[in-house]
Amino acid sequence: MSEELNMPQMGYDMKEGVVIKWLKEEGSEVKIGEPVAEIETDKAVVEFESYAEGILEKILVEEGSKVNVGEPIAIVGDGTNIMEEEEEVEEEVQEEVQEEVQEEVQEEVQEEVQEEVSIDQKIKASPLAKTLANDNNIDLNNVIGTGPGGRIVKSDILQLIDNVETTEKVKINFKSETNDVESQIQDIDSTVKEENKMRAQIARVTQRSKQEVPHYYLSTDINMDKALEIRSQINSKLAYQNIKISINDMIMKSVIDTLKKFPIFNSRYENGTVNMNEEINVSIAIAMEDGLIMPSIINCNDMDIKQLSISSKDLVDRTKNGKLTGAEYTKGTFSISNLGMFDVNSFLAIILPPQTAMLAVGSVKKIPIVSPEENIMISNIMNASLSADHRVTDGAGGAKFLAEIKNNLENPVNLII
Amino acid sequence: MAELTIRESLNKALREALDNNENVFIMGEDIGMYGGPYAVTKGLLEEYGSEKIMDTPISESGFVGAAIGASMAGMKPIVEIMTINFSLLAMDQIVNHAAKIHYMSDGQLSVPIIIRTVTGAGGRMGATHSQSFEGWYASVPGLKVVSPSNAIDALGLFRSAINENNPVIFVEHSMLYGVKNEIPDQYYETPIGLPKVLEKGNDLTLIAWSGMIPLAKLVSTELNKRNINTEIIDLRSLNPIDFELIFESVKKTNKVVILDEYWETGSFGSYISSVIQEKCFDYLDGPVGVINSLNVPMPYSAELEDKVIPNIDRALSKIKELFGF
Repeated sequence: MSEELNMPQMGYDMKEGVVIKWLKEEGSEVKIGEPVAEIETDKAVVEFESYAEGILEKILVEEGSKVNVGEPIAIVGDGTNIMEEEEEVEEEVQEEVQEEVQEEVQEEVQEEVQEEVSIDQKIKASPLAKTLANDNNIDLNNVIGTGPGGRIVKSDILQLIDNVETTEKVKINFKSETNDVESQIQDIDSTVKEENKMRAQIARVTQRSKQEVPHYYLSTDINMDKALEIRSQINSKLAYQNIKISINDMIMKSVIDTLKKFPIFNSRYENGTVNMNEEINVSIAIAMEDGLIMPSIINCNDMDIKQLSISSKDLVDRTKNGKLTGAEYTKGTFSISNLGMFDVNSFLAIILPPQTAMLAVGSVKKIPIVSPEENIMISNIMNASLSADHRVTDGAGGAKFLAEIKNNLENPVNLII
Repeated sequence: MAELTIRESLNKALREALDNNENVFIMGEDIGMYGGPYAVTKGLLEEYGSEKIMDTPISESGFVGAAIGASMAGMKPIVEIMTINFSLLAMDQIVNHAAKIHYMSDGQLSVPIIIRTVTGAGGRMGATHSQSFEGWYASVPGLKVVSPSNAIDALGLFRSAINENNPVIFVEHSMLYGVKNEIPDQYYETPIGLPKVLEKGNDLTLIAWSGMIPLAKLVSTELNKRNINTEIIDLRSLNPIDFELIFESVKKTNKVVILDEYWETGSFGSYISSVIQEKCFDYLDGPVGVINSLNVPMPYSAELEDKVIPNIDRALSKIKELFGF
């Protein structure tokens, strides 16, 4: 018995990945969850963990190959196929001869053509757009289509050519003191491409979300007086361990507890059906220099606030170092976006499909409020806004969900016990 | 310059043919005493007599066969089949004989006949009188098929047809007989096989012929309001077709829509589309669109007929679907 390992879907709109490096050799033993390869997605390089157990019988794609999501990259079995293969040597020789012939033919064809063939399979672009992209060495992966159904059309390519030309000119002029112009152009090329890659990714996901997901929004003010007080108490106790609970950790804890009460907000919407997630994996929006990543803390159902704090700090560190696992990239079940460090009162987030909701929190600010006793007093107020998928939940349910988050934060003893 | 309708320009063409060539004669149903079902042959019987202008019984296979025989013997017959719907009765004569004899006799015999007939819907004529079969004949090697949309081309194409030594199916559209144009005084011919650019534009190529030309102009006017400049190409001939002019246009506009009054399945427009996508693939910035009549027998009801024939609403929504404008 053998099982194929397929290129995993490591992101909502990931369509292909590049096998950067095999971490296991043919014939070696693999366990479930053990990293077998490094895969490059649009976002970063992540380790691909085996979902099968046995002997890595065959590696199907070479390092550096681009593979569509769902296509096999390796075979894991009990090792018998390796034996069988030896018996089939004769057939293989024939196949190899054929392959060699094919390879020779392929080598004759220009590399660009090969790239184009692979592009054909997954990106919608008009024939003319493809010709233009090819002529100008533009990777269609980096182009956002504005034609019907997101098709890349002539004008999209022409616009990109314009942009790149301008950028190149500006940067070359800027660095014109040195002579090595050619290497500069290469540098510029690669930076332009990298920037475009993350931008294009964010563009695709947010555009698709806004087009496909009917968002509704609810907003509330949360009095953080008690939360801040308890936080400073906790932090003074944990100072010797060098652990510092952030407001965001408290929000996360409140959200996790609330998700357990309202599991529908921890679901995913796929192909017209709502599927519940057992694990709670809270995604947090992490701003990068040139974009945004939303990795998640895996299985934080039962984490206490201290564990959450450690995990989230670790997640942020690894995000910045590009050391995330595939699951952290793709398995998020609910998102929190916090712009509290900036002077932002409130904002509305775009849901990250297939998740069905996201919480957006602003800064904690001292504001005069009317107390229950009808006195004017100064309190620390934070706005929290929920974006939720109306196909899955309704306003009243969202209101209860949001009220529970608020209640937890305003009575923060809930977060500790 | 005289302003003539298509009906009048064809009458003029027939008179020219009768005057210039003693071998020319005309036969068909109701073309003499009655003056022609669409009045194209009006007055000819009185002027040229019953040896030249022959009313026939309702027997399409018979009189088309007779005309083919006469043409093989040196005559230049012009046959009128009342509508293209009735030409089905004569299809064996047209497809198996007229189109084949030159080839099968190794060039010893020719069939220089002109078969005039009337295509198209829009006249509230019901399911059996509203069909557009010119594409069928255009698919047969050995037949030339022309289909003018205006009086200038009607006269010019007829003059070319008269000079042809092979069978020509001359397809007129029932709704276009009243189309008026200034006809040049000087003698001219319109070459068979050469499409014509009716309107120049850079954003979209509309290909049409015969009864779809007025719709193409309407679409163009609508798109012009949105600053989309369409190029209209009138095929004029369905076989042969000089595709170069079409390719040039497509390479310029990168977008094509074909208007064809035939049903969706197996339409002549689909053939044009397949040639374009094969020859201009790398120049296309979107799918090649074909707009046809809906796949139903033509309803008698006016409201329904207008829905079935390609119309402005359907054309614009298709164009939006294909190109986003």
